[in-house]
Amino acid sequence: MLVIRRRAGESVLIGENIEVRVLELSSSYVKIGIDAPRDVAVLRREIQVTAAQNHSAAGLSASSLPSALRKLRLNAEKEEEKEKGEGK
Amino acid sequence: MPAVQTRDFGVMDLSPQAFLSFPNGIPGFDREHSFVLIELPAMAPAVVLQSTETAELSFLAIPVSVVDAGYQIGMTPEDLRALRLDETQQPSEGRQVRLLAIVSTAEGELLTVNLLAPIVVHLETRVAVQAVRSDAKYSHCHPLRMSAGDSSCS
Repeated sequence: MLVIRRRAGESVLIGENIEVRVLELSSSYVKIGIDAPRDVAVLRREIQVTAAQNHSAAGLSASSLPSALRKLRLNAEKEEEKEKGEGK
Repeated sequence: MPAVQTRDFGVMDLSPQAFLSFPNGIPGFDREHSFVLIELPAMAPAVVLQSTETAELSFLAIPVSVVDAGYQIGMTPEDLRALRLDETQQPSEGRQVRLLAIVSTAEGELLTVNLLAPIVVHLETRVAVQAVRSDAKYSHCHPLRMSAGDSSCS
């Protein structure tokens, strides 16, 4: 991975048409501005991860659930009991 | 009552309350703007999100609170705006919104849920988004069996 040190207001060019500019810095995040042609998809990485996860999830049918569900119900009941126990 | 062709249950008549509108679609399925929420006692607490536009497109989901009772909502301002909620604070689950986590399978039999990106349904307007968090607090493949640490998806 190419690592470049930039300050707020400075930018980086990718190819001929893409500019990534550092707009603002804080202790916990950076705000960046991206100029790119319309046909270039710009996404937060998490959205791409979720898109892939959604595609795999779409293959799961209701019939694949029963055994997993039983376990889940048991877990949910245990949680409830625990909460009741803690409430006493 | 409007009838919907479903993938797993044939044609179903559902109440208007079951219809959810996704103005932005969901990641990977940007053009799917309308789903129904199917809740069957036999499947509880799981529910089915069925596209009304594409009969073959259907998801299993579980209420986030069932998986993690202490889940903290972390919606981005864009997603809050899409649901016409106050952008300066997170909505309250149960009162304003309902949170569902989409189920998928990791390697083999292990079922996982996406806690990184819960489906958030506005209880009054029935508008929904898949709210992808921008922090790394929760996993996109949280194992359903609560034996933490055996998450093995990519």
